[in-house]
Amino acid sequence: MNILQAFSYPPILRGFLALVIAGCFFPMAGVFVLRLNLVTLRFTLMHAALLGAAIGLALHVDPLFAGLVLDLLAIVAISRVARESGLALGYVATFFMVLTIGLAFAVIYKAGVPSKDAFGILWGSVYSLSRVDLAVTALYALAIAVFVMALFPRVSAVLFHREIAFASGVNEAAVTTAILLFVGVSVALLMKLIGALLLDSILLLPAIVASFTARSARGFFVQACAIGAFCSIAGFFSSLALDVPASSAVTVIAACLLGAGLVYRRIARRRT
Amino acid sequence: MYLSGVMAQADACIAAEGINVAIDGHHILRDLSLSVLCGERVIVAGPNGAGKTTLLKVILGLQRWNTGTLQVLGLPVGTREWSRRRRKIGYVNQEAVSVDFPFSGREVVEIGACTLSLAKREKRMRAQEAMAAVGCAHLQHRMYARLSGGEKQKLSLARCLCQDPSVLLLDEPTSSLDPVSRREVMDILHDLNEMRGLTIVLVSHDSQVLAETTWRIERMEAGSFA
Repeated sequence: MNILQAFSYPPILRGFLALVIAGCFFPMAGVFVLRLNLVTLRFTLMHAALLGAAIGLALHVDPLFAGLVLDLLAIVAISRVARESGLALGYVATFFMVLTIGLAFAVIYKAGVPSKDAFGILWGSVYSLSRVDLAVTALYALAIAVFVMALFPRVSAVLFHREIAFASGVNEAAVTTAILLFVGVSVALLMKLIGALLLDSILLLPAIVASFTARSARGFFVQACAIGAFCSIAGFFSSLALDVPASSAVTVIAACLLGAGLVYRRIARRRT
Repeated sequence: MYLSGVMAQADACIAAEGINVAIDGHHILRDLSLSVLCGERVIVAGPNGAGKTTLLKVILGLQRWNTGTLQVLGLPVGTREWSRRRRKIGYVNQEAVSVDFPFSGREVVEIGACTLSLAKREKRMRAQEAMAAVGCAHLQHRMYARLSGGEKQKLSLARCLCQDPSVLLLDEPTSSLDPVSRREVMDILHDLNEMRGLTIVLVSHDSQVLAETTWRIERMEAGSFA
């Protein structure tokens, strides 16, 4: 079967489209994660999604949908608690990370949910996407693109410094909450696409590589998206050519680019 | 013209009366009163921990206070009307923002205009004018993270100007600067006050700044004015 023939199969075509869309737009959320130091939050969201999947399976609701809902609830709770308590977001996220995983195991045990099914949310597959999944991914990609482009001055103000954004007249609490929600939805959708363990290849690695070369905030977003697009397209075709899982191929290519980026940065620093 | 029409006369631009701030049981500000006239330039001096930064944050609306009344530009801080006019207060925080993020100099200055209802081109022009006004136009394409403390402070002042403020609040703007940069920043602030009529409240414990200045000096100690 050649590559063109492969595209005649709807699951493969849908997987390809979803991966390209995610690669093109989801690294914007990765820029948020990097700048606002939300790495801990990312893990919390994975655990919250696991809790959501467990609850969903117990209640016979779609585990992805339940995971997404739990992610959104976790973000609202984390940002509220951090704001009210004055604690750093990372500390609050760590607390919720432990709490959600603890609750997830309790639900799995008490509700008799097969742990294999609950943990299934951690392994994604681009070929298991439905039309609805693809539509949701595309709509979400459009939403994050519109958010970043239309509100770029306000978003960049918050990314620069929250107090200065506030002093500049930005409703920084609303923008920050929106950023956290976008990160949460990105994590949840990427878990479905390529799995929790590999989602950083689209979420974070393109943003990290872009941070080595970008010379402006606008350029950072553009380059992260371009690198994400390259990784997802190259990874997809590599997976077909080499007969390996798409998520693995995307991850290996992103990791190679990261290595190349580190070498570039080392050379650039020696020159200056 | 940058001077706000609302408070063009020598009214009290900042009027704080009996402000008390306690955080986790610690009294940071105690029965503090301050009146700053429009167009005035004031240095709030005092040792570390005196509550100077908290005072600025209260004026800015970033820090809630427990008791007392506070009006800025004739509006009670924290009200909806004040929120709409909040950007009339430019703010330079304590340390030049340290960011490992590739903001260009111009992007940082344009943050000041981010909520203004202007076309992108107009915002860019305003940023260019602000940078020219403080003598940092040459920094517009440089990466902010790689600039010196003095260069960052100049961009911060340009950012505030871009915001079209009536009041500038500056928290230790010269603390990490060498004598030449410190002189430059103080001269720029002096010019902004003289030529644009900006009200300036500057927090400092820099003895050199205090020794050289002709500004009104208010000394703080343990949360209130000495």
